[in-house]
Amino acid sequence: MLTIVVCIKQVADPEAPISLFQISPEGNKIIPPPGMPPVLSTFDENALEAALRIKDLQAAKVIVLSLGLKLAKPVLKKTLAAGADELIILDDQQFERLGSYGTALILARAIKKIGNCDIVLCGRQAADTDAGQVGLGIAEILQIPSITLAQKVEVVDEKVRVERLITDGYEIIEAAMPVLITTSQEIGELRYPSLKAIIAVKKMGVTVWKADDLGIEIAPRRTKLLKLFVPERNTNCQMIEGASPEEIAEGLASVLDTKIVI
Amino acid sequence: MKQSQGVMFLAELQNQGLAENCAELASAGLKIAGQLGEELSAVLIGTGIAESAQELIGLGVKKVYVVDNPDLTYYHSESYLTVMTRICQDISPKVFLLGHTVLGRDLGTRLAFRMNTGLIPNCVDLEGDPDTGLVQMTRPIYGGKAHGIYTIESGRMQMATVAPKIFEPTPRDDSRQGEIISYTHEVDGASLKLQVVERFEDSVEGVKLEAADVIVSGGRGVGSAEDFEVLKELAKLLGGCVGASRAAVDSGWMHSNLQVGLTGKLVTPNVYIAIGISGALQHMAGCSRAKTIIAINLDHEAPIFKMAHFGVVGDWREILPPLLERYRALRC
Repeated sequence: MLTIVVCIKQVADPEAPISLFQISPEGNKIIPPPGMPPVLSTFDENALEAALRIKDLQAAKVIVLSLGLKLAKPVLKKTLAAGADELIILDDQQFERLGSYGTALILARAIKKIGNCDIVLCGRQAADTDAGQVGLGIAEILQIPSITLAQKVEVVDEKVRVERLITDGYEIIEAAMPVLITTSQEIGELRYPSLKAIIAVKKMGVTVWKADDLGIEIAPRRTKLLKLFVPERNTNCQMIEGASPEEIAEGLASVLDTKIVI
Repeated sequence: MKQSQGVMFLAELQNQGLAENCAELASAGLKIAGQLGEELSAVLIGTGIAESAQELIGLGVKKVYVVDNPDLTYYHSESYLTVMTRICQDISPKVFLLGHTVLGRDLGTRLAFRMNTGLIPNCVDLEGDPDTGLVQMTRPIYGGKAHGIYTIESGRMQMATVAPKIFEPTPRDDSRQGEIISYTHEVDGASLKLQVVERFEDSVEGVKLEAADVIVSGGRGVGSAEDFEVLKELAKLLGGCVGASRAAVDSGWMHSNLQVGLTGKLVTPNVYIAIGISGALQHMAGCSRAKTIIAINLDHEAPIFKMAHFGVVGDWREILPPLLERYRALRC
């Protein structure tokens, strides 16, 4: 049976109204929008969907791994309701402001602790920090090959077969397992869990591992955040008017002519 | 240990020539090299690339490291990582830049981990500090709602991927002088764990969208899948791509590949024409880095007019036909 680990990040709701977007007074983190529950990073939901599609076709155990600080278990249980077999939460006071390297190191250690993992799946990037580094970092630390931007993942004859997006199309890559794959949103949205499943998982237990359980020391960051700020935006919209659609089109064309070379 | 020096970038290829972003990377590299008092070099990997190497010198690169090997014609994550690791260890640059492209993100990120350093992705500003030798790197974060300024910890190779269409391309001047250094590298095929079986081109519009210079994008106000054909024609005439808001994708008018926004593509065209798009945060997070946003909307109170540079209050069904007419005539 295949063992598939999916790394899922819990993030502050990226679709919270912009009026609730706030940077801490120290200018080094954002303050989660008050009253809005966190959500699963949508890109990681795509990764879980990829895992579940493999499981639809063959015997596989899907384990969700989520790393963070004071994680909301009910939010993460959505993964179980959608069809994951096990949820392991890595939650420790020390897991704050880890950076990509520190995060990848802890996740890699947890994957080793799970043992015999065939496929590791991650979203193309987190829906908050947009960096897209942790997945590749895990692969580098575990010394396994990595395939980014998968739009389709299959397991055929003990190998993975991945359609990977490239600038002008896509390529098909085959690899022996273990392998790490990051998914692009083209793979599809996470399936809706049934109401029955949502109720059933409420009673399910969740494994929580702390830094000590992993026997790990927190790695110092390799990058330093000097400052977070809201960029200024020129919002002076110049209206194009005209007595007829033709006149307006003429006005638009004269703007386009200065911006585009055809 | 070798003293690290110089600013280096990876030059990507496209259609047997230098990729468009090379002149932008050269521009970013020259700026930092100037600030830090360093020399600019570049790495070029592929086959039949002598001419491209010469062009890089025309862009102000002083040393071009050329790895000419038919086994490296196409990007392969393992073989490119191996050769880049060797080069970074040999040359030991202070700063190493890549484009924020499909290749740059994949290779750069893993290379950073292998070289025990960090990488700041999608940089929209780079400022070298001659006193510390560190580069302050600015990038959008939280869907562009904020920007963060970062440095890489001192003593490590400073890596960044550079956002497209930010740095003014360096004009080419073929009278510039530079050195081309050929670098021999054998690919050990047997050691590769990944195999690229097949490549399909021109089939995925979504990725092209991310590289497009002009995007004509439609939302709920477009009305139907058939109506999108008009937008597609305008996009084609302007040499661009068509995009869509989530409302249009959810309505089934357009494929989710073409969705622009927080849960879709983050695009950076020169011109973004938003038609029948109200301008919800979800959408604007995906297109706010466009150089010029032009909005056409019936509702003069639509939030998009707060973000757009040019606006038209009106019915796109009336305005687009004469516009199409004009560009069709230009094509003939």
